[in-house]
Amino acid sequence: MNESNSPGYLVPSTKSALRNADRASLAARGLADLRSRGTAESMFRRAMMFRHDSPNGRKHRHECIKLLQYTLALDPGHLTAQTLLGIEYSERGIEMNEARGIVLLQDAAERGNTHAQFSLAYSFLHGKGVPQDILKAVEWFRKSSENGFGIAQYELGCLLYDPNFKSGQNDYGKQIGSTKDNLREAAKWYQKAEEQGEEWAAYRLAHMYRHVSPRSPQKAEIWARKGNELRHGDDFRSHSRRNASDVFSRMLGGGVCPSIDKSTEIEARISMAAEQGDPDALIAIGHLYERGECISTAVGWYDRAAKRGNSDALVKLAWFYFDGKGVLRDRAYAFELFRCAADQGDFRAQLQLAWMYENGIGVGSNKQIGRDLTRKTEETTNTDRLRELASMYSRGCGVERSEKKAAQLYRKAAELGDSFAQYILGNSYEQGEGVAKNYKMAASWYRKAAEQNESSAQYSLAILYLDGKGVAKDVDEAVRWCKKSAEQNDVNALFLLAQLYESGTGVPQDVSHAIEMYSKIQESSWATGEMLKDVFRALALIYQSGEGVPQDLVEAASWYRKAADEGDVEAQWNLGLMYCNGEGIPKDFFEASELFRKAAEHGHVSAQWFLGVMYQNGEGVAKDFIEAASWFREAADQNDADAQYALGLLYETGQGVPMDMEEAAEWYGKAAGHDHADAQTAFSRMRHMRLD
Amino acid sequence: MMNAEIVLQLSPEEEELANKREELARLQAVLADRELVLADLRAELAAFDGRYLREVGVLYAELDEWNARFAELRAEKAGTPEAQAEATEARAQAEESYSAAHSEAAKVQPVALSPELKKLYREAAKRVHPDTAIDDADRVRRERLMKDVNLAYGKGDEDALRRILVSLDNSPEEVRGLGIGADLIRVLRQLRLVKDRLTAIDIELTALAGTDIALLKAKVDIAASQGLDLLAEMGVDIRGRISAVRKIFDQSTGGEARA
Repeated sequence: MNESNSPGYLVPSTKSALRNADRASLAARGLADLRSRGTAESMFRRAMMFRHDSPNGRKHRHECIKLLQYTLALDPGHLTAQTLLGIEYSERGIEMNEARGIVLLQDAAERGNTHAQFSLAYSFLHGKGVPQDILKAVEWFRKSSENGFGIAQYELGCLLYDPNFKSGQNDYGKQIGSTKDNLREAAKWYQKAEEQGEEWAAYRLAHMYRHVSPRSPQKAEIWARKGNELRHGDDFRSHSRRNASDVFSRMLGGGVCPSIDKSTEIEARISMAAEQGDPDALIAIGHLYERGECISTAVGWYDRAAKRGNSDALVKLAWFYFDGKGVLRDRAYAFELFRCAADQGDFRAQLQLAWMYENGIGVGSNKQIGRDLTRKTEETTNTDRLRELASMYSRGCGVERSEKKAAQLYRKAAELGDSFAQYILGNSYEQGEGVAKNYKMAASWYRKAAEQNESSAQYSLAILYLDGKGVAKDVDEAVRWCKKSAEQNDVNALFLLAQLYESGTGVPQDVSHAIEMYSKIQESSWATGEMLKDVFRALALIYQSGEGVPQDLVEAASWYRKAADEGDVEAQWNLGLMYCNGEGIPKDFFEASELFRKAAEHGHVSAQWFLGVMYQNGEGVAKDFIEAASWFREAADQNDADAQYALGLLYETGQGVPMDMEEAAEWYGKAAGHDHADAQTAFSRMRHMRLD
Repeated sequence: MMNAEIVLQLSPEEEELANKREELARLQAVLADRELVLADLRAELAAFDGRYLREVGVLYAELDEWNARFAELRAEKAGTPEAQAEATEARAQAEESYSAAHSEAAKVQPVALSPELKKLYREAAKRVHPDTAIDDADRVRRERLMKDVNLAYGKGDEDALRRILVSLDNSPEEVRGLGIGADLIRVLRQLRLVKDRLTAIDIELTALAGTDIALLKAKVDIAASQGLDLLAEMGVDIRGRISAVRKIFDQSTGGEARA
């Protein structure tokens, strides 16, 4: 690669003589040198790199500002660069120059850049670099909104709906007025903003329907729900469905877990149940509102359930009063609520009561009662309760965090025969959490749980046998436990087993078996994105290497694609190589460069180097030595010998970087230290030149 | 009665002559303005060129000097005709760069072009302009004067312009009166010349805007509006290259270069 593209060793005199054979004028030379610095777009891209990855803060910001200035010098019409520069000047507080920032923003805004219009409006709203002027703020928010900028639409809605809401300035209301027209316009912008995914716009709409005539609680509800969906996305939807199905199965007496597809039906049933006063349904709805940060609404639902004596609702409600979230803080009332729940045997409430007694909060201090209560709570022999208590201690949730205390409670439950507690305790010994690290103890607790068919423990035990930790190394035993766990579809065990089959460790090598395991993992709903990445990559490798199955590059490429889409850096790199070589897919340098860029941006050293090479040769990307140099540098800083050599070459020839023989020699030297043959030649050549 | 009518009513030729004289006067004013624009651009570019040569050009010259020395050293060691040719070329480049960077052009300083100066120039241009000469001898005199006017303007020399204007006042009255027909022909020819000159100025303005120095100036101006001193940046670049070449040169000669 380097061989064919090496620009060759040209000493500066030769180079300049060649370049100036036609004797360009000094002005022409200056122009050419300026042009070789790169295009406006490449400057802008580099500026963005410094803007986003700024581990060193100030210096990078300085670099970013300078590059933005260059971008503008090369292309005065680059409004995005101008806007960002304006924001850097006026908002970031570094190189603080608000007035200059405003000039840039104002100009970009007048030339139609929506982001600039928004930022300018924001400056007027808060009087940053300009005198505070609410009407100008409205004017610019409106322009940006009309250009379809979601956040501007939301802000404009807020200013029109309730001018004091955003600004905290009372006289704003007088300036803008609060006419019917304004309200109508506010609603219009909120709706547009909601369409763009601004969840708070939906909440504000809900607020409008609740408080402004014509009121409509139904519509308010719909908008609040929309806000929730936007706020939590798919994650929230699946969560609320899971939550809903939990409630539903509890209503049916447990044991039934309806499929996700039925969630709508379940939701309908929940609201029916709620109307009939079912406390679980009331809590479920309260929970939805709580997740959507509509705390006061959530409190209302919990309150209804609590009035029916539900201890879960009582505890929830007590916490809201304790923290003063959504309601006025009232710790004495919180104490009463906790006591109601504790009277029903709720141990979380008992613990909290104990703490309140000990610290004299919400009740007169009485350390004795506090300690007694704590002891009584922990005396329970209910293993579920013990486990939950332990988990509260380990998370520091409702009590002071204490891994030691958690381990003690887990041990109690484990000794009472609870398999899950046994597994957790084994894990605590393996990790040394709350107890001293002890693999023997870990193995012994894992075995107890494993014998009770606890799949996680079976998998963990298999790993200990494989590594020979706490037990004598025994591959057969490892395979036995791993298989048992895999039979219960434990994804970790399935993955381990697949790898054992692939490598033929403890089992006869059988790739088709491994493929079967991998497909089981894909079917499991427990597989995490990380695990799926590993599975996709493993499958791709199997088909690419053709060991145990007929080689199938098309299949391999399609698995790499899946892994790459999930963000697997190694897969991006491999798929990029396949595109470069046209293996299993048509040769496509552009696609390859995109994949390498993704991998390179996540620090993949080979991809960084290769991307540099592509920029150097203009393959798949426009030839750009500055880009090439910056990627080589990324990889060279991570000690990649090829990149160090390539960077040395660029310094020696002054391509993409200022010519600098010392830098060149330094990078050659580094690469030579990694036994890079070309670099060693180059290094000794440079040393020779010095001695010459 | 008849006589009075003859006095009041201009003949068609006279009317035509009056119209054309009017048009000529108008175009001469326009021409003076355009000359001013051209002179301004020339002065600006000359001033920028001076600054560029002083700040950056000398560095290129220095770079070329070191390149030439290095090429000569290599030629001396290698002794091949190619190396010799390279060295000759490098030396020629160095000499050219040196003389460019230290030419008269490099001495031009920016001039403050005051409104008073502009007014004087416009006035002088209108009255001196060679294109309005009545005969060939007059044209030669006017061309010489116009050169002086431009030179004085470029230097910002108001006094020189005033002196030229005074000398014009003292020169003998324009000779005319060879009859209406001849006058008309002369005015028409002058009109043609003024229009030609206007076209020529436009062409020259366009050409000037496309020169390397003008393009460079545009970039430097834009960068300056962003708060960047592009010439200084270029200087840093070239200094880096100079020190790189010097390092190699020093290493190649051992102590020689320092001695």
